[in-house]
Amino acid sequence: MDPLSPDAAAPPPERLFSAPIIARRMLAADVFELAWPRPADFVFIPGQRVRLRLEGLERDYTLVSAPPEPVLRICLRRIASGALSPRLAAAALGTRIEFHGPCGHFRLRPAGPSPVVFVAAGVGIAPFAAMAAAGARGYILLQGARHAAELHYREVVAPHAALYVPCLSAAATPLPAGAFPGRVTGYLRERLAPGRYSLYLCGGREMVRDAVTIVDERFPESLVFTEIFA
Amino acid sequence: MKISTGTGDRGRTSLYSGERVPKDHARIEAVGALDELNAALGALRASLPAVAAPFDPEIEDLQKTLFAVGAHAAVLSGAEAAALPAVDPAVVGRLEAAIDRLEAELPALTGFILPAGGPAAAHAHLARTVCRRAERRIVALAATDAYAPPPAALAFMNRLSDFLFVLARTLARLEGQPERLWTP
Repeated sequence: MDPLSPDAAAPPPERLFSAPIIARRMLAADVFELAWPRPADFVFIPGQRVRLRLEGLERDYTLVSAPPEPVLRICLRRIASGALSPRLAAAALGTRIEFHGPCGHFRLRPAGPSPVVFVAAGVGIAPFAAMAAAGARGYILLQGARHAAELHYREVVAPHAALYVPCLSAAATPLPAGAFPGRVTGYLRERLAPGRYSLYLCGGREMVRDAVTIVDERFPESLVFTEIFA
Repeated sequence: MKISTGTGDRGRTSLYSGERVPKDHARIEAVGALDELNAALGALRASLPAVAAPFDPEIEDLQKTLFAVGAHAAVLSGAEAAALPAVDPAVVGRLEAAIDRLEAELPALTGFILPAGGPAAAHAHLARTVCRRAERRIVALAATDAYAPPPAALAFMNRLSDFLFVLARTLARLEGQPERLWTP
């Protein structure tokens, strides 16, 4: 069954699982991906989160992997002053983590007449990478980062987009082809054509709040779904 | 999961369907009234005397059903509702049985009862009135919108307020409080 379909079997209630970290991949100096084996009975919908636990600390992370994969992957930024991310950045391979899940309602809704617009800032690209890997196609994607090198998972999300716009807020000129010089909210405010959209917003609270304000003003008939990352 | 999004600071919010609506939209009113009712049931549970403890799991089940009703109040179409937990029609029958069970132990009604009693009885009366308001909000959806919660949800709300009435009377007795009738 199509894992993106809302008709897909409802995931079972949240459970506690345990698994060893089997891979860590650095995506940038402070952004990395962790992977651990997917328990055979762990079912989720792309866009959902897990609540990860290590050394008594818990945080929610959106899965960046797609359901068929034999591993579960998350993408996170190492926050120097954070509690859990530095521990996860330093944890040796083989370290056992626990996780609850799946949880959350940030998932692709049934296709409607309105174009789908994904808006991601930073590691907020995670749910869209999972959706693209699971078969989402034909969307407009605004991916926000400071520099082109921080466009994580571009190779996963860009090929399936009807329109892919990297929004680079601190990039040196000349910009890469097709890039917008500014934040994703700038593109929403200045470039996205008026219309009715199904917008999926994922990123920090400030970006999501500003984007929703723009949507209310410029695209008031649109549908809006949000997920806020710390 | 972040509780505070800041996306409603200008008086608008998102329905489950993703549609942006003003916070006084009929669906938000219905969802809010159901939320208020659920909180009232929580206060009722917290106020139950030990002698009424057996009612606690029964009321908890009602709270869970209210979440399902609330989910249906928050969507705009039957297609969206298909993915939601159903409101089990059997819950209406269980409420009717509970009403009959409690009523059999109560004296016949001879007039209007002042909504009072001990703390638990008073909380049950308050929850009953909030339940009626939530029911009115849901009925309003049926009159104005393309999708309204299923008939089982409306029947549940109607029966729930009846149950809360007989529960209030029962709790007043268990709390040793006499019923006072309205005398014009």
